Amino acid sequence: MKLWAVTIKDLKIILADRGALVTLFAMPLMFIVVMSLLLGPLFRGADDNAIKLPVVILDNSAQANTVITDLQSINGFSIETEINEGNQTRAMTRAGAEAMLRDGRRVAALIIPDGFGNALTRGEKANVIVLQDPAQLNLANVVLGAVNGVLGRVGGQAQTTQSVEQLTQLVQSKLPPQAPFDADAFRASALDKMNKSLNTSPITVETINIAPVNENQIGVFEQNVPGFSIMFVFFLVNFVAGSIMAEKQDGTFRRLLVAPISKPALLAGKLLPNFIVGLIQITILFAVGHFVFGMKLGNDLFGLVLVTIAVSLAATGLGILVAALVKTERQISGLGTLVILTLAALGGSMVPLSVMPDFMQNVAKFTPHAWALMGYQNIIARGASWVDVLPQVAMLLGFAAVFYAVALWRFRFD
Amino acid sequence: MSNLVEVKNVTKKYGEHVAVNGVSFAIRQGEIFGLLGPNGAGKSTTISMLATQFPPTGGAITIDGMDVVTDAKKLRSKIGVVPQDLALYPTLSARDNLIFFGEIYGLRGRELKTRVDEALEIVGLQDRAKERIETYSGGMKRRVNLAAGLLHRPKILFLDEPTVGVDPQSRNAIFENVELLNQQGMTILYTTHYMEEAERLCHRVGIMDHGKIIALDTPKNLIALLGGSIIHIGLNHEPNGLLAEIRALPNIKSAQWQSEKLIVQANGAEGALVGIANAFNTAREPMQSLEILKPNLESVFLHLTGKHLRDQ
Repeated sequence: MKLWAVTIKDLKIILADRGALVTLFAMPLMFIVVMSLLLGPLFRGADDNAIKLPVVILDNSAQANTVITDLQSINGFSIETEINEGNQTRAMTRAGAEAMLRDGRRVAALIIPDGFGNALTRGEKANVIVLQDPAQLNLANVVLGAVNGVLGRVGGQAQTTQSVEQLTQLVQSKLPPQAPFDADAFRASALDKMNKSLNTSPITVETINIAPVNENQIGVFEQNVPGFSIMFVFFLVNFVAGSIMAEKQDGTFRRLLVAPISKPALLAGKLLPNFIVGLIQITILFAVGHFVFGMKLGNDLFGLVLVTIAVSLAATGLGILVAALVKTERQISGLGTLVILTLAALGGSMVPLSVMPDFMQNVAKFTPHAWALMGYQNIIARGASWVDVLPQVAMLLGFAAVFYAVALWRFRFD
Repeated sequence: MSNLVEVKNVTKKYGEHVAVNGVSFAIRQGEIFGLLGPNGAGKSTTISMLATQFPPTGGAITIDGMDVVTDAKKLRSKIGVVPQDLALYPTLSARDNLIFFGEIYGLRGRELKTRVDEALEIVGLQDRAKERIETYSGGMKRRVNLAAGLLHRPKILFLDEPTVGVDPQSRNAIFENVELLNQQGMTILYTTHYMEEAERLCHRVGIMDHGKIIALDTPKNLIALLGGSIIHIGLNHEPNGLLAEIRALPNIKSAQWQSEKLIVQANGAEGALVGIANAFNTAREPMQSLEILKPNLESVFLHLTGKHLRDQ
């Protein structure tokens, strides 16, 4: 049948098109595997927890232990009371917890200070400290809510015990031995005190942002605009590689190679416009975020400019690397897009780094996206200055240098 | 006339494959020199080496006294290249394409504008200069391709198969352009596998096959090598005894069996035909077809290599 002839012919064409195969099969498989690795913990049970909460225990009391046990019993939480430093495992320290927050690997940490249990036993106010990352306040608030719930229960239990003790002493001291004991009134009084105690926990939670929060709450735009800007500036990869491939296919490269222009000048001329487009792209996206949606930009615009220049350089570098490795235009749309989306998913553009498992957080560090995101969020949400983001800028320039070096090594002009 | 280009014993190898094999020739100042040969003969590779695109594996090439390898940078502004494949930006207009290539050759401002206008005038495309190249016909694209090689007024122009896929009108326009440029003093290296183009345009022709130059002279002298007429006689089978008999006839210069044909080179067709017809009658061998040709570069090529320039 002619219908089948056409169908079979087109199937053959599709199967011979590697770009199409990548888009149809490799891309969704990549999303399934990577996103499952990233978000898996959110969907699994209590034994494999999504949100990790470092807890610094400076108090050895039974009440402190109860707080830990109760927190551990909450599904979706994993309590970390220890920290790995080098090859050693030690008790979690405040400095260690703060470092994890600054890297964006955790959203909040709990500190139970010395004297916590004693204060509760004495019926006094007890204090705990919650450190939180202002760049990830939405998630930090989830943690804070859970911590408050546990502390309310623990505080309530402590206060109930205290109240019953007081009542027993009252009964013993005021009544003569033969006097009838009014059990109802005693119960009512005890319940009343218990109810009160459950409503007003004696534990106060002191919340400390590990960096200054800029004005009000960090909103969804402060989190998403940098993430998606980074993801989409890397679409330059397809443009850089595509324009180089077009020059090769149209024969214009050959004409330019016999013209009085050096190869470095030729390549730089191919990259510069894309680099500029990258700068304009991020500027427009951030401007829309700022002026239309009220996204905060932090206190150091120069720092944002530095990160933007570095991330655009890395994106164009990856573009020429792809151009050096592929042979056809179809391979660009396949391989290029696969690389762009994979790096974006791994690098925290789609899913915040903090909800990723530790392993994937370490993998993220091998993407320029993670460093760019860290740089932007340090300035926008953590009040950092341009000096503070120099490490992230240096890492991005390092990525760019590696991309350019490998690309130039593999690049063929004809 | 002094030599502008000197090619001495040039070889180009790609691994085991030898694309150009010990080629030597010279191009004189002010001449149109043709490289004629079938596809894959090594013409484009030769022109690419002359244009400094890549160095020869062996031998030496000088243009205007400069070496194409060591003086490549200086040479590039003296040579114009019109590649076989259209080397243009399809989404830009003809004018924008020419402005870009002019800038690459260091032209700026008023001079650039003048040269672009000049080049557009030469190829006759001023009227449509603002339209995107992708909307042009194949022939018009070829003409812009040619214009892009002229902007910097090169001393020598390399034209690599400039008429492939071109309508007759554009082909004639290109011929006229080439002749005009040559009259203005430009030296031109013209590669083609159309023998009639080489015959019409070229002062001298080098015939290439399998990476070698197998003959080099003016078209007239090359054709005179054969002289007289060429007679093609179609047969069902190789005429074994008949071949020797025909060779022994008067006025016959050569006779050979090629591609299911008996190819006879004669001093004059009329005198030879009577003898050939008699020989066939005596042998009771029927002729399937008979064709009398005037010698041209095609038949020269056929004579030299035993095959046609183009697939037939």
